[in-house]
Amino acid sequence: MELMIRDLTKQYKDKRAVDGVSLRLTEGINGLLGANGAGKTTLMRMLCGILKPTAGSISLDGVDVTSEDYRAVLGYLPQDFGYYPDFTGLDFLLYLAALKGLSRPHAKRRAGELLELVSLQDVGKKKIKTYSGGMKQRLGIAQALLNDPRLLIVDEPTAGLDPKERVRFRNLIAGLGQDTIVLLSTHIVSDVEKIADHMLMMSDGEIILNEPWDKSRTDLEQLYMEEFGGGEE
Amino acid sequence: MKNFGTLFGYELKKLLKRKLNWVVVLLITGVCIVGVVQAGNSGGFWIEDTDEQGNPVTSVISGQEIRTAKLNAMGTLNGQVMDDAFFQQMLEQVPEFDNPYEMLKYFYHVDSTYLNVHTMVEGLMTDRDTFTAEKFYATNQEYTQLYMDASGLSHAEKEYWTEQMEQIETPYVYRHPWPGASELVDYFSILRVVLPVVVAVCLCMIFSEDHRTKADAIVFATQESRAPLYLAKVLAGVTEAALATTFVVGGTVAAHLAVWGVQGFDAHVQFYDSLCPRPITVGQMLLPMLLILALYTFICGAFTMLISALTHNAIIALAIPAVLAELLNQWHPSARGWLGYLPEKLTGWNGPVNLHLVKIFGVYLDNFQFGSLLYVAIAVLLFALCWLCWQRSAAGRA
Repeated sequence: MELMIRDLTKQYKDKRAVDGVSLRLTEGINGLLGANGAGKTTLMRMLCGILKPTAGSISLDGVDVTSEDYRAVLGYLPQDFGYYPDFTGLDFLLYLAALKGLSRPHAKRRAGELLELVSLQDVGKKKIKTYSGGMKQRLGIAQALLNDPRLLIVDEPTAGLDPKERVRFRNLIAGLGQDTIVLLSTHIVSDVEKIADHMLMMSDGEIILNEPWDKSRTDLEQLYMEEFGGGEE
Repeated sequence: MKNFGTLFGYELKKLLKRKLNWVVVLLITGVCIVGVVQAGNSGGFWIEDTDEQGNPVTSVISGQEIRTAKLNAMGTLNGQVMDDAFFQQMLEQVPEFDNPYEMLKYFYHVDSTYLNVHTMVEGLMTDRDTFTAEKFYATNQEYTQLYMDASGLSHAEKEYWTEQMEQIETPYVYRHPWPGASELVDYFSILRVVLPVVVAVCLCMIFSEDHRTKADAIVFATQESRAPLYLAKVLAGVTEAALATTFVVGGTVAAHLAVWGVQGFDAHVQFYDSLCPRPITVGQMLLPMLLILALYTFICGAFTMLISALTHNAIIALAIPAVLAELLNQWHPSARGWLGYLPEKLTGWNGPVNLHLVKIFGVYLDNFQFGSLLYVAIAVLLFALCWLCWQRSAAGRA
């Protein structure tokens, strides 16, 4: 299974947010590091088919990003996203499951499993407007996993989580990389240092580092500081 | 499309959970009901008269008196054949009036039995002494033909309506028409402004809320987020519009029934408007007008959804349809040609007497039939345009 990205470019009026990015990603956790404004979110939105590239192509095992088949195996957790405040957590998952094409019985079973996985089983029938920020983020993770995605794209997933929740989330993601291409964007080194199989760094719309990552290495922060000149935000 | 039912259910839930929608629908329904009840007892005539000494005196016939007189007239002549004996009896009972004030005083203060029949024959009766049933039917037919000429109908259209008129049996068997018909048709002018506002409030967020809350990022990354979700949203929107219309129109009609009673819908429309050549009853006249009103509301709903998908802005999606509906309602052109299909014409007094026809595949359609098809086509066109805007957003081009 491979995600092929060829010469991907996104040009806004006077800014090139993503500049000719070419990548080949396979199963495992791919960490994407970069400062705010580096183009990570733009790249990820294009990989999810919700932002049209100015140029270039994206395909998963030959299936184009614009096709329904591509979206059928995609899981996406955006950096900043909205909920339906009057829905319960369970309703939200069942609604997203319907959008992802899951049958009703399968959706119910999967929603139950995922609520348990993200420790929301006790509040699944409560309205989302009563949830804390961390609970909403966990619900977001659950929705991304509903369809057992083969391509999971998570954008700054630990933003707004407390340290305990960040560790829990990191462990959760670590268990997903075996059969799935996980692309995890962050600007927090510790989020990916111990779980990534492959490391990418992005700056000014370009990929400046693209190499396999040894989880036993402890110099990611130093590498990051070198690349970004101490500009971690 | 395998989860269409589930998606529709959740989209409808999103709309029904908005408290503002219910507040507006119930408030407008309440205002309409109160307005109908008040209108039923308000108004009236100021009559200038002189007393025995010749001094000017002003008396009033109140709305309450008019309503009571109209309701008292219900059913008193029902079942009587409108032949010479019928008209003779009317002429014996109803005096000759020197001026309209005397007529009003007589029917609203003395005896309202022949109020409606007198209105029917008033313009046709040139000479009271020689007036007969034969003259009534002949003059009525002649005036209807003159009306058709004045309306600029083609030969084929006149032939069609003449054939329709032949289906109406003469002499008529009198049946008092529902006295609230004119009031209800008048009230449609208020509903033509109110209903677009109600559906705009209900639907203005349908395609903009996900964008505003940034839920669209998750939604558009899913498999069924294009055609199935669009259709589910549109069907939920149409259902919400239908519910809102049912509340407002249902409340208004129910209030009219409470004020004017429930009898007289089966009376021939000629007892409501003697020049109308349609072989239908009063109820059959009002139903297509209500249908047109509902379809107009759907057009407004579709337009609101289009603006919502186009601008992603609920305020604009609320304001534009509401303002346009008001401007359209204030526009009063002649009913010639395509202008005869304006909502104001089809749901106004002009609707039943607009006799222009459209021939489609060899079949003549009257203004209500063609108007219904036209309104459905406009709604479908707006939904198609809305789909293009929605698809553009979903594909990340917005």
